[in-house]
Amino acid sequence: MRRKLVTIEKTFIIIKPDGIARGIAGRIFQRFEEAGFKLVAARMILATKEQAAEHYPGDNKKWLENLGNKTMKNYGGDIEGVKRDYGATDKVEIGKKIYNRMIEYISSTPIIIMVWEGNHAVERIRTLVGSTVPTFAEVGSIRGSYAVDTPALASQSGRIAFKTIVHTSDCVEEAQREIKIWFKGNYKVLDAYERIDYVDIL
Amino acid sequence: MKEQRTLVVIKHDAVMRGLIGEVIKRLERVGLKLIALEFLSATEDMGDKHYASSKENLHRFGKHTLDEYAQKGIDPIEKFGTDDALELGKLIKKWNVELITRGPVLAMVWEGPGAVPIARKLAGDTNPTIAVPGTIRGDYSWDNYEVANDELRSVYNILHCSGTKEEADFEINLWFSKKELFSKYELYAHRAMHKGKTQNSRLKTQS
Repeated sequence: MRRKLVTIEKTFIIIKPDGIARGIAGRIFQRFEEAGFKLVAARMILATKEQAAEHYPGDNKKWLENLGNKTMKNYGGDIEGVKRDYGATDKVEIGKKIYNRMIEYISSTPIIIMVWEGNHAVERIRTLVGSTVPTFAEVGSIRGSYAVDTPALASQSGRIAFKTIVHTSDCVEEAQREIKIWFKGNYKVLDAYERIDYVDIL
Repeated sequence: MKEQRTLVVIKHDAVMRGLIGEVIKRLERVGLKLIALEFLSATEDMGDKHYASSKENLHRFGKHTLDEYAQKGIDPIEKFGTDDALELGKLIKKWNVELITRGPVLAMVWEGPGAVPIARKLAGDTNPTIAVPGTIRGDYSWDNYEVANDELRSVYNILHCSGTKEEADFEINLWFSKKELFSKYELYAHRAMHKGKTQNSRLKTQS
């Protein structure tokens, strides 16, 4: 067997309800394939609320606060606007609201969960996907190419979540945690094959 | 043609070549709806059932190849070790099972009006050499039965898709359980492709 190098990582991706309903799943697969990553697990599921709740670290106060912080920033100091759209001004409270909406959204219609493997997969795939708010995502990234939405627009039009097409793991530890949550039981990660267009790499 | 479901399996040769996204993209852009997907290694038992052929069919496969070889003046015994149509049919089935169990494949169920013939149209002829450009097989494979027989293997033709509605029902049942089929969502494009759905689309996105 080939020796696995430490920079060969696995990362976890979700094609969210909007990606599926838009009919752009193929393009997302293609981006990762062409960029030199190997699919090692994938299935279409309807996520349960429990799975979704486990996925997002809602009991982590810092994470919630960070969500609230980001939202405040997105509103550019428009406290009244935040209050109107989230019914709170406390950062953790705002974070909780968003957390609940995220769970609601991800479990609303089918999603594709998958694991991709490759050199520096976690960081590289984050870059390919682009920054979280699609309207400000880099041109050429997946979000920059296929999405236009902002949290503020979603809130103002009464949508439960803003449309980001995909979820990707933040860091190697998160990736490992997420893969464990979503690919439980007898589901095996199938990484024992070679991508012949990336001979000696994948 | 009414709503149908069809099974599509992206075979391992296409997985290895990084063609998954390309195949999915083509099925999506025609307006078919993906309702099941799993990346898996098919067991020998599944392969055996998937290519479950009656004796008559195996005989027909074998005879087809024998006729071709007779035309070319090649001795089938020298090539395959048999000139019996049924035996050769069994050998061809064995190659098919070998190919589908060779490594991980991506199995999917697609839904839509006429899904069975539409998916087959996009896939193109099972013999890539004569599959026309613009079809998946025509664009991504040059393989043919002569080369495949010569290498004692099945044709590398990127994907499997169900031949008939009956075949589709049987195959979907073989590859997926009922609770793995997720039909209850709306493809946005369908709001413009079905009469009467356009009007409330805006209301829906805002609610």
